[in-house]
Amino acid sequence: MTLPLAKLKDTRMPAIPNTRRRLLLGGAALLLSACAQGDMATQRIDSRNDRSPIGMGLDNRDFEEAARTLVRGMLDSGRLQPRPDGQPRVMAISRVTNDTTLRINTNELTQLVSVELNNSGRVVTTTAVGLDGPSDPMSMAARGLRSSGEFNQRSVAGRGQMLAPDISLSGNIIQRTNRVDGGATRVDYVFQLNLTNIRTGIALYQGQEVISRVGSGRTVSW
Amino acid sequence: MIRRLLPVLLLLAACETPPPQRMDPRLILTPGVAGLGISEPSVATGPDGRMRVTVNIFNPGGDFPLRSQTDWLDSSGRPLSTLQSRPAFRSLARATVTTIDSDAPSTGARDFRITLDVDAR
Repeated sequence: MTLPLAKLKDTRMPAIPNTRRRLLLGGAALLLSACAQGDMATQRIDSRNDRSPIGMGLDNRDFEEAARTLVRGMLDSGRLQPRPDGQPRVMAISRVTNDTTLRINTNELTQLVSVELNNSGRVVTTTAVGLDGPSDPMSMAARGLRSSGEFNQRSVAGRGQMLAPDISLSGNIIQRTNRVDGGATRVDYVFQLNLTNIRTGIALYQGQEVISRVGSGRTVSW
Repeated sequence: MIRRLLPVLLLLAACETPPPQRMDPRLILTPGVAGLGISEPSVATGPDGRMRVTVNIFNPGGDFPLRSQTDWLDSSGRPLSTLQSRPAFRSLARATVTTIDSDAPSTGARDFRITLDVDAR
């Protein structure tokens, strides 16, 4: 059974007048467009060409910026001379304190510094010594194989082969937050790093890099 | 006919603008930094044998957000993986000269490439 066209139209939208219908459709369209603006498509970021927006907190670019400046200062200081036997200095990672409201794994900074110093050829890093135990416990654990008859003993690390560190890397990350004129917020992040000669206790290098932001107080930094 | 036109042609040739100076090909400038006065890169070797490059930039206008990036290349032209090659942000104060300098990460760096762009963040 088929209905005449006019009757079919009446069945679909019988009671809504034209103006009201247009208003409803317009409202629905606005609502949909508002929802669409809130959904940003996920994109990949190339760290070498990262132009994504910044926030009041720290991101990868800030750690790289701080590490780059501080390493440059270390290498330019002229204090990182080789050992007397011509070998590079051996560096141990000491404590880097996070004195900010952000949850930061300070390894992010120390790893960048360590890699860059290693690449310079003037410093190597020991992973067998650390304040809270070695960062890689395997060096000591593998020495437990000395008593095992299952292993070729010539392939097991002997006594007196590890190198003790000459220098130690320590520092702080500090945050200072202030309200400024116009209701904006200014946040300063201070990256401080020290290289200490372990034998003498004298700092070979002390450096500081400040990364600052000013922005809306709505974008909080914690 | 040619005799009549010759002075006009000579005059036109004299008025022709000189060809633009070729910058060092290791310095890459984007159109966004066209308003800045940029020197040729000055290259030196530090006491530890690492290359060091310096570029002076004159900013005649208002504060300018600059994004600079120095890639360091080894003897075969491959970029060295280093923090020194990460983009750096500089705010050039108005009517000042700013020096952009970069040190090679190691003595293995043989060449460089500097890219200057406006930081449009």
